[in-house]
Amino acid sequence: MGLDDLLNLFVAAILLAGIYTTMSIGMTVIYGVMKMVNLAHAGFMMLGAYFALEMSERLHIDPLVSSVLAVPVFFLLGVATHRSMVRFVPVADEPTLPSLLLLFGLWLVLQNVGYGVWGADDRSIFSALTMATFQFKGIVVPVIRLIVFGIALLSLVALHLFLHHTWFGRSVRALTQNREAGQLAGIDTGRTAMLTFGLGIAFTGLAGALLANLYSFTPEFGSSFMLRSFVITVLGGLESFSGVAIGAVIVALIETFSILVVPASYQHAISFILLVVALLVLPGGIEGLLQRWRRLG
Amino acid sequence: MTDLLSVEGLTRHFGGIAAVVNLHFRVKEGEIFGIIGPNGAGKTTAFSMIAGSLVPTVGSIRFRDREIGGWPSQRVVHLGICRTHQIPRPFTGMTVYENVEVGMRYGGRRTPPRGSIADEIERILEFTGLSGWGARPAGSLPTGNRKRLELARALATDPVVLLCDEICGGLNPTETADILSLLRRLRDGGITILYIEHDMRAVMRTCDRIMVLNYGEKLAEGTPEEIQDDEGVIEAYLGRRSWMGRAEPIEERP
Amino acid sequence: MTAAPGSRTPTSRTAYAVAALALLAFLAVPLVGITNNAIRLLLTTFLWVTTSLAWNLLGGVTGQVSFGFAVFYGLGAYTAGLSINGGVNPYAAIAAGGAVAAFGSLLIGLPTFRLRGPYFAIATIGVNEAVRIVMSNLEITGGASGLRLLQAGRFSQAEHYYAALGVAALAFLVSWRVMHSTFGLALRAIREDQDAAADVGVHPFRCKLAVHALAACLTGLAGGVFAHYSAYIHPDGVFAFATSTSILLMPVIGGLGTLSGPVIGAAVYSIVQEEMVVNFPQFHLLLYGALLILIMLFEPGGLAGLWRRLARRLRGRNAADPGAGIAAQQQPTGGGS
Repeated sequence: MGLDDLLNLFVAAILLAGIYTTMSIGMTVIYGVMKMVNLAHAGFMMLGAYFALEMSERLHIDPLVSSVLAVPVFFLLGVATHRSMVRFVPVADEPTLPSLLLLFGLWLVLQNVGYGVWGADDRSIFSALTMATFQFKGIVVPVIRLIVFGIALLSLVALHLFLHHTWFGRSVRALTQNREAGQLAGIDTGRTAMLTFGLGIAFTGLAGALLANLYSFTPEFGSSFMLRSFVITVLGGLESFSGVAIGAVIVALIETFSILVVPASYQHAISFILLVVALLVLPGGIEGLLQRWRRLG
Repeated sequence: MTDLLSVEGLTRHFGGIAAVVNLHFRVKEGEIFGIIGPNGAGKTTAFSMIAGSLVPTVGSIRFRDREIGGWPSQRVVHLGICRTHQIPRPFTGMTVYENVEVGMRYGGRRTPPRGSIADEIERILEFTGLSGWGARPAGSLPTGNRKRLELARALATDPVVLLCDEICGGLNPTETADILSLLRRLRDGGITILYIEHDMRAVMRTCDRIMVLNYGEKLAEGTPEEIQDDEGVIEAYLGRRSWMGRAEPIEERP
Repeated sequence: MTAAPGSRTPTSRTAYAVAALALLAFLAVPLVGITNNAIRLLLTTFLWVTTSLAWNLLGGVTGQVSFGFAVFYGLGAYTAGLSINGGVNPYAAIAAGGAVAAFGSLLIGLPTFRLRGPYFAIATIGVNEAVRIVMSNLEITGGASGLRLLQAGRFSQAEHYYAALGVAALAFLVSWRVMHSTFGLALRAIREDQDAAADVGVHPFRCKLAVHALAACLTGLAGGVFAHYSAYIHPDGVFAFATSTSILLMPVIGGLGTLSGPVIGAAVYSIVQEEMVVNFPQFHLLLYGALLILIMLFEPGGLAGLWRRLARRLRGRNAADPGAGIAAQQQPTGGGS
């Protein structure tokens, strides 16, 4: 294991962290504003992947282009989901069980509709870029990963501008920081929640479509990524947008470098164990988690 | 009368904000001890630390010469310290009777003989004016009765010290008078009461001694008369004298 | 009228009678010579009734949703399987399965119950998958290729049937006892408001650990009976996340926090599964997902709640709602400071 190999792994981890951030940010915005854990996250990621596939197979649109197209489509899908279901379950200062079970039900539905429509076969998207790599001083970088990283980064910049320079974005940040105060300040929570859910799903769909460029997928796709998103969100402090990026880097680094120490067959267990550990011992400076701890007896 | 509860140097930070700072006070057995102060003065935070819902950042809470700071509430309650909540938190899906039963079976310092539990619960419901409501789901109670249930459930734990957090908040004058007379009867029956209240008239009429908090610190302590006349309190916290001066008597039911 | 819970009210006397009659009828079933297929269906139903009632103790009565009950089902199955292969008496082996599952629940519960309900739920997803992966890689369990039971066949199908009926009856009895006990009162208080419960002396952490262990034990027993019956188990079956999902779906669909709900849910699930899994393998999960959504949106009391509502409407709505528990729990509770 030379220095070059370590450097290669490091670059791979950073490229992975970009898409991981995009994937988790959707979960974070929804949690921040609505205090809901989106258990249907995996379902929407899977839809994102098949969206890219369909666009490429039927309309011959480049999968990278359709990832971007996924944003408005999934925004509308998210808004529709909120209008038709999510808004009817109670919200509180922490996730409620009805919301958890509702979204879990939605995940089951999406996943099995996926099986019905696309079957259980492994699918993947090939384009001219799939196998291309480029080298820089001994570091090999797959071009497609670099582009995906770029799009992910751009989406995050766009989100940042959006949150800081629009009225809706400010409402989102206000409600995330203090729901009650936000309400008192006259923010229409219902409307903001609806648009936020749309925004969260838009990012989830985008992440699904981007990941479809990198991995093969089935309707099962997304569940392991959803767990990673949980880990990242928890590591990042549950509702901090910048925390998500840090969480994503940590998870990507651990996953990438664990290849060196953990046997391959246990590789999959890492994110699950990380999830439990993160929930338990890394409160990430959030008051909510401290309060959860305070009750031990 | 001896000190039942003594609090020394009690402090609690939330993140960088100090909600309660270096608080000292002593509560004597058998008195109604009022804690007043504007919103955010740290009253409920202080309460929560005594009741075990919050761990103090620093400081000591002694109950009958036993250090209880940082004990969880389910342990504190077994010593005989029980709280009510400002916004009532009934077990909404359970009946009123069952709500009280939880307090009786789990919070009691001794287990009452089996047959007497139903009688005992009935007695508490009657005392708090809830008799006849026992079979109703607690979630269906109107505000006034929710407050009563809060009290009933706490009483079921057979407390030595009762911590009442704005138990008259949101009630009309008649309901307030009812509850206040209950508190006085409880005190006369030997229960020590710590009482947070916003309603000045209620505090002035009911409490034996009062402590004033502001920005998490103690501003003054004394009898209602002393507090009423304390220039520091009036200037620094009350601002205008008329507010205190208008202490009209409130009608009390026999 | 304040009826002390636990007293023999007329309703509970009828329920006792119904339960006893049902038990007698099920005991007689193998004697009247129905088809093996029907017996198999009943047996499966009993196993699901057991897990469903067990999950309900934690998820329905105590309000702690777990996505990880396959862990206990699997632990029970593997413990029983390995013990039987080691020459242990099958009944003892099944009992050992329950014990190991209960022990496992403590190991899982000690850290995870430090988390509040919803975070506990998320953590159990991680626990479930981590355990499955470990079990797929362990040498002694046969790893991913599964475990074949060597002494299977010593039981006749009737004996398997009675074993399954036995654990289901046990689960029913235990649920009954718990729900009408002081312990059950504390569990419900925790479901309603954990902090308020602690304020009046309930120890939430201990109560959750205890009910988790109880539920895990019952689930492990069911797993043990299953292992012995099916004679072949593998990690992607008994430890699968899908198994956890099924165990969760049944009581939720049937009606949380009640005694009849989980039984109804399990019966419906087993029958639907039987009819559909062959012809439409994915469709049944789609159906459950849709049902779950509908139940969360319209009838949080599940099928049992729906039944009560219909019955009330037919009878002409007079009495107060005895099943208000869960429905009220679903109301928005607001923040509180």
